[in-house]
This record gives sequence, structure tokens and C-alpha cells, in this order.
Amino acid sequence: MENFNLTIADREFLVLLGSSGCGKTTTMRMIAGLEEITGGEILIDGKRINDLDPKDRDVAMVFQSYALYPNLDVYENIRFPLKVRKIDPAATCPSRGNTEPSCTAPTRSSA
Amino acid sequence: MSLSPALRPTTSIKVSAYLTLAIWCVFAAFPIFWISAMSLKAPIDAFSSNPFAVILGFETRRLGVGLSVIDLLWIGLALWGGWHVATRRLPRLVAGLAEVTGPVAAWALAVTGFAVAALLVAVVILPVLVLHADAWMGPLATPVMGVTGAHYRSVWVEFEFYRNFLNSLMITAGVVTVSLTVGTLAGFGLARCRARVAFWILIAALVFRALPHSVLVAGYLPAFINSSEILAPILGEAAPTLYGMPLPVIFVLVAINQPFTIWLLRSYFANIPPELDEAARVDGCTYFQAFRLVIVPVMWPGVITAGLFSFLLGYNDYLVTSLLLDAQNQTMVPGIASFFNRETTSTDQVRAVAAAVSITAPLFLLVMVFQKQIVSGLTAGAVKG
Amino acid sequence: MRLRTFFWFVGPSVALMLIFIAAPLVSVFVQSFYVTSPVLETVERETCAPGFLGEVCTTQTVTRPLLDADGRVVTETEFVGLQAYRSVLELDRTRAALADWDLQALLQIDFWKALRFTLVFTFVTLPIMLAVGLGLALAVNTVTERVKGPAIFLTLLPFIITPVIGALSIRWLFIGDGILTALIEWWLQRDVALFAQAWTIEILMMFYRIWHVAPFAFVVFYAALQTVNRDTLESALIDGANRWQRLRYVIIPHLAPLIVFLSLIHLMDSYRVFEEIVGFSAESHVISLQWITYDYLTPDDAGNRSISRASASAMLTMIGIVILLIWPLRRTWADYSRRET
Repeated sequence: MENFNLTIADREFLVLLGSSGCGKTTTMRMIAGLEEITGGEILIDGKRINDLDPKDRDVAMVFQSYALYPNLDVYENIRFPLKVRKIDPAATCPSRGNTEPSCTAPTRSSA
Repeated sequence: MSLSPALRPTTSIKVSAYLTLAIWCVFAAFPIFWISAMSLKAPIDAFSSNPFAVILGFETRRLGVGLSVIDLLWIGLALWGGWHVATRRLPRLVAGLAEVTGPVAAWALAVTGFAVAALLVAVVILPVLVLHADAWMGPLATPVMGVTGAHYRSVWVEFEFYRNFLNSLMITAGVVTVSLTVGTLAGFGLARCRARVAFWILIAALVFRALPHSVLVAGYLPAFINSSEILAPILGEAAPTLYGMPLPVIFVLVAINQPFTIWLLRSYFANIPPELDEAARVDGCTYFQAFRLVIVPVMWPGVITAGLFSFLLGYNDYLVTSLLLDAQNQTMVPGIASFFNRETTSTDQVRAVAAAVSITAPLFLLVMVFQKQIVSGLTAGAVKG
Repeated sequence: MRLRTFFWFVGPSVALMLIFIAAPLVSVFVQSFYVTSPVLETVERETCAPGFLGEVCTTQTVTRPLLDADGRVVTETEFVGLQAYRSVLELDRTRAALADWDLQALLQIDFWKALRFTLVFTFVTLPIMLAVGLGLALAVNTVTERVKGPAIFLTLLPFIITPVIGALSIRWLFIGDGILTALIEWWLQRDVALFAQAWTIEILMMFYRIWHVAPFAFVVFYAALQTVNRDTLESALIDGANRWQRLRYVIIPHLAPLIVFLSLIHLMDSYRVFEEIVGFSAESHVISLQWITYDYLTPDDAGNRSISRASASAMLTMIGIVILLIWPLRRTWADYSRRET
């Protein structure tokens, strides 16, 4: 991947299009930190993140093959990022028994 | 999906397949069946050239216990029950247990439980049934087959084979634990690393896999015997003599088995989609956390296969253990040499046979329980080598 | 994966292999040029016995191992160059045998005898193992589900059995008037002693080895047969291929990488043939390369192990396996490079 410049504004919704193999996924993976870059810079909020691990970049990503954790149920799958960052889910949802639709999660997926 | 009619085997092919299989199964099982029969007979029967004497034990029946048709039925029932439990019940039980304890602990518990139950049935319940249940059976109770447990008793009690058994148990458990811990980490790393080094490590491992073990032992022996002097500058007075101790042997066997383990596990991990741990890393995990939280829960089928191979290596080893362990820490397989090398009397020989069957019994239980894992693990792993 | 992380993952494994495989190799290499022996001192000892005309005294010179202050034997290590190799190869006898074109004499020499057996053993068992494994896999693939389970169970038994025990169990069937020897005698109507000459023992050993390893080939082939592409089979059918041709042109090519894999593993494993010799107690008739090293490493009656000669024979054994592996390793290398680029 060479000579690629892109600036994304805050709250901008950007769609990358291109023929297969042209590097859409690679770009995303480079932003997420899954692919190491050999030259150039990636900045988020003006901060250089080239050497940061994916976990420290505060990005989210949906994979082509969804990459659900097969050993976890739906609720745990969604809660996982909070759990590893040691954020109490109670802060976002008061309890698992909460009846608000956004806080109840089925424990088994129907897929 | 059913086969298209033209691909289905013809009758003649089917007949020859069944025939081949039948002949092979006799071949495969006969030696093991035969030494089991020999081990239960008086020496004169065990080494008789008349096959009926070996199976039915004419002399043995005269000397001691005779089994009646009814007793044989009991034994058949026990074997069938064991098979049924191992292949049907146990996997379900493990699946249930695994939810609570995790798969490895579940398998370990289940296998131990199964082994203890099998031992209990073979040593306590069956003999009681055989000795006391005949009284009310009338004509069916006439003894037709003579057996004696005397050789087992003398091997395990008189010659203290249980010590060798405990040593084997310790060495094997150590080998499996260390080998899996170290091997899964390395296998995962190798599967996820695209650098050249990974390839070179694998090639080096392949070459190491080829080395005859005696070459390695020739390297260890002088170092182990003199280790207290060699290590003295580092450890001072506490420097141990490694020769004869079980712990270094565990590490030696782990190292010998490492090449195979990392090849097997590497190809297994390569089949787990990398998106899984990448997603975890984007979600805020370090590589190690991603491994522990996301990969470890899904890696058990491959790990159980690798564990079985480590078990076999540790349990079956003769060369390394016989040269590096002293008599007191000796495991079962080299231990048996003291029986068959004596071989002055035919009683000694039958004792050796009994010891050999004792060594084989745990392996027999293991295949019963793990046959599916062996086959499916190799499908997923080594096959793609 | 970054290299740093990678090394954390593979570190323990690589460290174990370096300490317990690479380091011993180096030390074996070095040891093979040195001999460690007890330092001997020569002392004159006067022994006197009461005789007819007073004491009769004789002076003897005796050599005995020098002891240090703690009463341990003092040893010295001496560079001897290739002497250990010479004594393992018995170069004088070898040269004499070669000069006379006397193969018999050459194969009397332990090392060459072991080398011949090891190679014959490896290359005779290899194709038979592959054939039996493939045959079994095809057979199991044909029979109904109900038969498969027990058949696989019985097939795995010879594979997991402890090699020494497996060899012993075969031996007990044949030893003396063992059951199968009795059968052969009845069939041939003559006396048979299977453990009295080398060739019968060799056949039994190869028989045992095939019995022991064919199940592994079976499992691997059987697993791969489940992944044969059915469409290819059906298109071959439409193209007019008969059963044999489908096996030859569709199934076997599908199994080809596994045939290489199994051959490689088998080459490594049967080159270190050893347990059979222990199990059959065959050392007076048949020996293998690994057994020679083992024999040097076992303490003799005086408790000495000939480490130097063991190291030399170990190095020679290793050179052999490296030569055998060059071709398959280059193939693996080529495969891997092709896949990566």
C-alpha cells in the first residue's frame, strides 16, 4: 500500500469502495493496529498512534466473518470489551435484570 | 448426503472390505488378547503349545479357581458395560462437567473416575461374583476355564511394581502438563507469526524430531552425573545431581516431544480464524489476554490430541528413563526388564507377562475413552502438517 | 504479530529445545573427541610372607586409580581426535574387509551390521506400512457405521501399546514352542526355532513394526478420505473412470501430501529402531544404530560408561539421519516457500 492519504473528520461517515484486493480491509486493519505499517503516520485526534497496540487505540471493528466468541453467550459477547477494560457494565446498564430493551440481552443466539 | 449409486461400493468390494477388516482386527487384537490370557494361567498352561490349554487353563483349573459359563457371562457383561460407559456415557458426563470445571479438568476427572471404577470392578466385584455367585446356579456353574491372579499379586505386591506405577504416573503427568503449557503458547505464536523466524523454528523442530534419542542421552549423561560440580558456581552448595531425579527427566521428555507438539498445535491454531483474537485485541486485550480469554476456551480438541501424544511418549519411553533414572525412581516400562531378563524359571516369565498386561491396561482404557479424539484431532491437526 | 510478542510466546518452548536438544548435540560433538578416564598411579607394593628362612618379600608394581582427598577417583580428560570414531568404525577391520571385497566380513563389524539392519528395516517397512494403512482406511470407509467404531478401537490398540511391550507380546507368541511357532511347525512339518538366527528375528521385528505403525497411517488416511472432493469423484465418474482409475487419479493425489508426511515420520521413527531389540532380546543376532549408542552408554560390569565412543557413534548415527532427510526436508522447504509467496 503506497501513497495513501486520508483525513476523516469527527462524526464523518465514510465508505471505502474498490475492487477486491485493492486494500480496503488492509486500510481498516492498519487503522485498528492489526497490520503493522512500514512507513507513514496514522493520527487519531492529532496523536500519532503508529506504535500503539490495538487495545490502546480505542477503536472498534466489525470483522467480515463477525468473529463472535464461540465460548461466550450473546450478552457476554457484547460485554467483553467492557470486561477486559475493567469497566463496570452497571455504569451503563444498572443491572442485568433491567427491563429496558437496550439492557436485556438473550443469552443464546438464534443463529 | 447419500452417495450417488455409481459411487456406492459393489457387493464384491464390500465383501472384501469386511474380510480385510476382519483379518486385520484379529491381527491387531490377537497378541494383546493372548498375553492377557497367558497372564492369568499357571506357567505350564501359559507356555503350552496347545492353544486350548492357554485359553482354558487345564492345569490352572486343577490348581485353583475355575470359571463357569455364568462367570464368563459376568465378565462379558462387565466388558460390554465398560465399553458402553466409555463410548456413550462418559462424553456426555464430560460435556456436563466441562461447564463447571473446564474441559481438561473434566476429562482428567472422568478418566480417573473411570479407571478407578474399572479397577474396582476387575479386582473386587468380579472376583466376589465369581467366587460366590456359583452356588445357586446348578449345571451352568461347572468350571470350564481355569484362571489365577497369583502372578499379578506377586508382581504388584511382592515385587512392588506399584512403586514403578507411581513413578510412571508422576513422570507422565509432569510431561503432559509441562508439554501442553509450553506447547500451546508456542503453537499459537507460530500460527500467528508471519515472520521468517517462525519458519526456521519449525524447520529446526523438524530436524530435532528426527534425532535418535540415544544421541541426546549421550549428551545428558555426563552433564547430569556431574551436574553438582557444573552447577556449583551458580547454585553453590545446593547444586543437585540431576542423574536419577524425575524432574529433569520430565523436562527431557517434554523437550523431545516439543517438536511434534508444536507442529500439531500450530496447524490446529492455524485453523482457528485469526479474526477471533484480532477482535479481542481491538476490544482491548493484549495478545496474552486474547489468547487466554478467547483462544484457550476453543482450543481443547487440539490440545487433547496433543496431550494424548505427550502421554504416550512419557508413558511408553524406555530409552531415556532406563538410562537417566536410578532404580528407585524407575518407571514401569524399564522396570519390566528386570522380569524378562531374569527368565530363569517359567514362573518369572509369566510374571513378566502379567507386568506387561498391567502396563497395557491403562492404555486400553485410554483408547476406549479417547478414540474419537485421536481420530478427529488428527483430522484437524497433523493432517494438514 | 510483533517479534517481541512472538518471542514471549515461543520462548519457553524454544528454550527447552535449546537446552535439552541443541546443547546436548554440541556437547556430544565435543565429547566425541575427548576421552575421560581415571588417572592411574603406579605404586610399588612390597608384600612379605613368612618363609622357611625368614620373610620372603616380593615387590610388585600395581596400577590403581588415583584418589583425591575426598576419596573420589580423579579423572582426566584428554583430547584424542578421531580415535573414538576409529574404534566405533573399527577402521582396520573395515579396511581389510573392503580390500578383499568381503561383504560378509564387513557386516560382521558392529557398526556396519547395525547400519545395514537399520536401513533395510526402514525401507522395507515403509511401503508396507503405507499400503496396509491405505488398505485399512479404504476398508473402514466402506463398511457401515456400526462396524466402524469397534474396528477403529481394535485398530488403535497396536498403535498406542508401549513399543517394548508390543515387541514382547509378539515374542511370547513365538518363543520356544509358543503358540504360533507350534502352528508353523505343524504346517511345515519340521522343527522351527525363530530366535536362533538373524533373518527370522529381522522378519519378526519388521512384522511387529508394521503392526505397530500401520494404525497411525490408517488414522491419517482415514481422516483425509473424509475430505475427498465428491464433485471431483463424480466428474471422474462421468469422464468414464472406473473404480481403480478413480483411486489412482483422484484419491491418491488427494492423499499425496499425507504420504510424504507419513514417510517423513516413518523415516525418522524407524531409523531409531531400538525397542524391538530390547523386546526381542535380539542383541546377539541383530543390532541397530541406536542400540550401539545405548550399549556404550549402559554401565559395564565395572560401572564405567564409554561416553566417548557413545558420542562418536551418536554423531555417526546423526549424520546418517541427516543424509536421509535432506531430500524430504528440501521438499518441505519448497512447499512452504511456494505457499508463502
